[in-house]
Amino acid sequence: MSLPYFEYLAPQGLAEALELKALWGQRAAWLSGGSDLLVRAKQGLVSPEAVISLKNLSPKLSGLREEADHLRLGAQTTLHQALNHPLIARELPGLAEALSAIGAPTLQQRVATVGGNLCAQTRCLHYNQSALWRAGLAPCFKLGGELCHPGGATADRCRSTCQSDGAVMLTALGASVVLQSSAGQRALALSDFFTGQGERPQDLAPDELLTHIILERPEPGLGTTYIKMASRGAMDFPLLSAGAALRVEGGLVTSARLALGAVFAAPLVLKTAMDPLLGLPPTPENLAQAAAQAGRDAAPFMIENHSAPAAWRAQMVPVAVERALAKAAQRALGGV
Amino acid sequence: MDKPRPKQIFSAQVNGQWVELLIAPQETLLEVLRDHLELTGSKEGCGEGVCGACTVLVDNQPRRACLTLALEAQGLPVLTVEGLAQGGELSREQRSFIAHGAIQCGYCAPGMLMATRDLLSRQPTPGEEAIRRQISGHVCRCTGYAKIVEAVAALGQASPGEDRP
Repeated sequence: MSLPYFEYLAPQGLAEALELKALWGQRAAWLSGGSDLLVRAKQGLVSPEAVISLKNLSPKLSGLREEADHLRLGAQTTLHQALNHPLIARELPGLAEALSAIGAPTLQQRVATVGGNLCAQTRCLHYNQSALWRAGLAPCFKLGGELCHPGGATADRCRSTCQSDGAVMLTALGASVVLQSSAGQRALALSDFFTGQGERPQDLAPDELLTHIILERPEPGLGTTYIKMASRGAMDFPLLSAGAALRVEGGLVTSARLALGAVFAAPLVLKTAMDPLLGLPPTPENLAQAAAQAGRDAAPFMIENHSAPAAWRAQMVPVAVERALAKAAQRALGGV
Repeated sequence: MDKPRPKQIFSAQVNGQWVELLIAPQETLLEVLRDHLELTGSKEGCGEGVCGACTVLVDNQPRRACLTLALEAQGLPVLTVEGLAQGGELSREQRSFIAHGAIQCGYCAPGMLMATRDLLSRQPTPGEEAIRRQISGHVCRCTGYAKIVEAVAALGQASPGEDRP
């Protein structure tokens, strides 16, 4: 499969890269590992006039730095580098689970980056197809059209979903991102960075680059986990996923954050289902109750936009959430 | 009038030899290897990064050649399946794959062999779990994977099922 023509630009440093992007704007696309962009370019889902390679910026924009009260992860860090960082392996097992669930080892090493995973486009059974396959359908909202195929006649917006494993777990961890342009930089919580609009899933201006991910330092009593449901153990995007970050102090839950993947255009944060856990001990009954509420909260989002039936995915929400909460609680209490 | 579409010079050390040629900027490394350099060992299976048949090592790291722009490998060493044999003698990975019946139709073998070279360079005696995990991004429709796992395990002299440090 050949790629359509585009110019290839490989700036030497960050300032030059940002100037180029400001100049080209939406006509150019950032090229990191390429595992999302180039597939979509081959399928005709995106047609940049130029790609701006980040390869020369990788040394400066990769690696994990421990600062006084937070962790600073370069967006160009490959999944392999992140997975092999002792702090992530030891203190953030949920993040390690999410990153190792992306693709497969021979993609994780050089190709796929953490920042690229956050900037990956939302996906849908009717969108991520070849140009030939799509030729039989009218263009949907995400392709600039006026309808949503799985959403049906009453749909007023794109119903594609976020299937990025890293995005879901980092949202559960309350991470934020640093976006830089030649005009300056801003920091955004991931819950704001992900817009919830399938047509434009990330709040990233045409002249901006995601340079860093900021994580809270893991506190004592924090337990994290990531549960992914997919057809195969490698390569597949999740049909449903759940990232959980639970903090237990003195036997009581003091913080409970949970995000679902493959449900909504952004990682779906289930705050109202988790808040009742605060101040309670993480007993199986309490966790099951929160999981049941999560299932009720997620149900309206389920439509036939992925390769597993919506009814099955809806049934699996409380299952995945209960597994995630149980594992996170076990880890919060010192287990593995 | 169409806009001009200037080509660019691509230069890299492919299987130990420096090559320099004029390519279109959007050409993938796989296209350059197969169509320009006639190194047709690396295969295009799916063309979208899922099957692993096009895997080569760029700067000693595995990359999907079908999803890598050739210009991303500018100036770097590239190793393909053709570069494994030295002095007319097959590499130990190739010999082990043959000895264990790990090659049937052969389409996945170039990618599997490069994944094997990569794994063994980082973990000389991988156990079955590490091997299965490493080849999890590589599709084979003939062998059922068992023979491939055996071939790789034999190279680390670890018996399948046992993970050595």
